[in-house]
Amino acid sequence: MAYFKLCRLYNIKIISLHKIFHHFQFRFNQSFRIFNFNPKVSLPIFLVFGALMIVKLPQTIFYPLLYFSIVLVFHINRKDIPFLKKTFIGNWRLLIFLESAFIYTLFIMANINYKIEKFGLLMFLVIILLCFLQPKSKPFPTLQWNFISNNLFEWKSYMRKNTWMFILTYIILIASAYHRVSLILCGIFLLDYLSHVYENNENKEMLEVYFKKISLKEKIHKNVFFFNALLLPTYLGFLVLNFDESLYLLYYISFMNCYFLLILTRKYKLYHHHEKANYFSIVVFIEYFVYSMLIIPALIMIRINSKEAQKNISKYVGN
Amino acid sequence: MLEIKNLSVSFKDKDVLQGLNLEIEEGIIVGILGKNGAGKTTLFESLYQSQKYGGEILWKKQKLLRENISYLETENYFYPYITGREYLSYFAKDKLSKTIELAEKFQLPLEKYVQYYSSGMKKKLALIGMLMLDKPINILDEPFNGVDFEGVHLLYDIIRELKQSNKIVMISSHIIETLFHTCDRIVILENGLISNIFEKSDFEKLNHFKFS
Repeated sequence: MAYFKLCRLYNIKIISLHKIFHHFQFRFNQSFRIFNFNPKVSLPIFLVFGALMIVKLPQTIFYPLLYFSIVLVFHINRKDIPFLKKTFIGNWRLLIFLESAFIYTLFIMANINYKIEKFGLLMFLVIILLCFLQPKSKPFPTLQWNFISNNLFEWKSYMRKNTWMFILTYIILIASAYHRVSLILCGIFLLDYLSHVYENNENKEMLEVYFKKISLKEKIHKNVFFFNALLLPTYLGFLVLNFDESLYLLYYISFMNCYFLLILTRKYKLYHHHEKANYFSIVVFIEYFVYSMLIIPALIMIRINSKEAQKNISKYVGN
Repeated sequence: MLEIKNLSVSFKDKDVLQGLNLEIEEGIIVGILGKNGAGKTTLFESLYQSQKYGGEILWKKQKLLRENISYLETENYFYPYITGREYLSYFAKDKLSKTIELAEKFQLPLEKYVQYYSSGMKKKLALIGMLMLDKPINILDEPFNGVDFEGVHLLYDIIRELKQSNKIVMISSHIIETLFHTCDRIVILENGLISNIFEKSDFEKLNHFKFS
């Protein structure tokens, strides 16, 4: 009887290993499909991965912490736990551990400046805890952000929709003031995040009454003011921590504001009442990213976009 | 008076409107009746100046400008994650109480985010916004779609109020009874042309009307 039980147990283990192998094969194919068919996802991932391979952090323990935080974000956002539960009935936690550990190992081994040490290995124990941390089954309650003026409805709406992601991103953004590399890298990440703030269109009636009350110029001023108020802690933090390198801060402020103005003016340049959104592709992101980094082309584009946006708004509002 | 003279619109090799002529006096409610693809929406888009057209559209003998016209489309969208109350507050100025009163009559949950509204609720909210623009010419494309029984009756009242304020209203609907209740005149649109115009006294004939 005991032998039979052992065999059954052994048999189960063999099946599980076989399933695990197939699952990883499936994951590989899935990732390949995503990377191949969705350059908007794959290109930033490769860019980030490349940056994370070469990034040099001031202390060794920052590497495991950084890569673990990536694994944590991945885990919190995953929606495939019910699928894993159904497929690997008894072993789904093991699968979660293996997948998270694989991602963590991939990052930590790829970095050219990191050498394996105790803290890095201890993180695998923390990854085990992830198996018992269930990602959200219901959407998190969101904050209303009612103190934000209705004139800044894009921000209000975006922060309501992505409350917790916004707060997390904001903390990372402030922390990025620690070093010039983290400041610039985080700024670049933020550009993609910013792109979606102005992606949705208001309907033609709302556009008309909105721009009857305030001009495009005023809207730009209000939004730029709000954006820079959000970034102010980062600016000040960097000045306090890295005063000698304030030239980097100046560049950071310039390219962040250029990109911000580009996407804001683009929204109204392209606005058409039939379109719910002014869809933002990776091509636009790269184009505006390059303009912003070079500053002068961005300034020229902002001028052109603003003129066309004003013309387009006049079609709906009149003179 | 709104004058549409020899209005024509073509898409590639298809003539959707073929020299359409129509005159509408102020304070008149006109119903547009036509099969799918007859050109109703194209006519409305041309009036709203978002469609290139041949011919002339004149308002008080001048080219019709978009600032004189409001257009409630069949499908209505709203900016996500703003509440009904916030949406209406953009239109309010000194009319906030009137706006809220109308929204309450329509039983709209004003504290709810607009993207969670049903299509009928969205239609009602869009209509209130449109009314607040207070334009002399109002186009309602399928305004009764998805609206509940009580809402339809409120809509009748609103259309009557628009008439009393001497505004022009153009309505398209697939439900002929809704046009009987609201319109002074019903225009039949067939193959890009107006094939028939029925005055209120002739509406009974429409009970047996068949498109050719």
